[in-house]
Amino acid sequence: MAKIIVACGSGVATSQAVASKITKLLKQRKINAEVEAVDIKSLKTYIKNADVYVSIIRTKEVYSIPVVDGVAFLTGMGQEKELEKIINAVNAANDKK
Amino acid sequence: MHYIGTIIALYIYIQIISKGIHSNEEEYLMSDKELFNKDLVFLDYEVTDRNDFFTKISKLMFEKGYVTTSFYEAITTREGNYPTGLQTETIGVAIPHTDPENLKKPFIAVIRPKKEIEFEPMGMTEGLVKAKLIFVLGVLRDGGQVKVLQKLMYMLMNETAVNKLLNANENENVIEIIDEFFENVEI
Repeated sequence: MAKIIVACGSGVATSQAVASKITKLLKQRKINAEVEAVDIKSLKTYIKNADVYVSIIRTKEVYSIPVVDGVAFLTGMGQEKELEKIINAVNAANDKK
Repeated sequence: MHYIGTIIALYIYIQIISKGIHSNEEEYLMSDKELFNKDLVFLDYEVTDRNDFFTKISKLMFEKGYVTTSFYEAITTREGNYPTGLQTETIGVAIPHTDPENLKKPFIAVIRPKKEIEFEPMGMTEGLVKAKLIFVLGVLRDGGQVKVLQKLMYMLMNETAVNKLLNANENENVIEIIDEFFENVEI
């Protein structure tokens, strides 16, 4: 199954809320993927096995997987666009496997 | 004889353990209402800037027994590294928080500053957020509070609820507005 990781500064509040929302939205669209909220400190480890990284922090780093703006899921602004990016990445990942 | 004694001891032991588990569950399932409190609502709060805000609110939360002495340092450092300003369609807000080790009790404080306070935005957007409402999240690592945070975000996207909060006159009203929204929202 495709894997989505969400990270914020401390993995306590916001990343879990965003992960929860994404899970719900994907379920509504009948898309299968694993969504996990992770600690920013362990990000590099998790990125290796993930297909999409939903970021809630300011980052200039480039990753080998698509990066999506997670704040959109907190504010609702631009949420649909970011969700599409996730869905595309998930579909691409599922096609590969 | 020993056999009966063992069974009784085991029974008592299980009772104690299950009570322990239940009280953890109660904490875990701590309701939204218990995190918000009219004593933790501050309307027309006067501060000069974001730093002044953190100084004042940290002192207040410490005096009320909710946070440790490390809270101020922790929350300002975290805000510097991972800003919490959020711009929804309806309003600019901030949700500053820090690691649970700085907390004594979980809470959510609601502040409506007299003058907007500027926060850096969360994530990758540009431009400062002029926060008209600030929610200081004293949330613990495990569980139940994630739902509260989600409900909070939904509320901040709701123009009606936001306008009510911006116009509320009393602390009690703020709590009522939040309770009512939380009770009815589906996340």
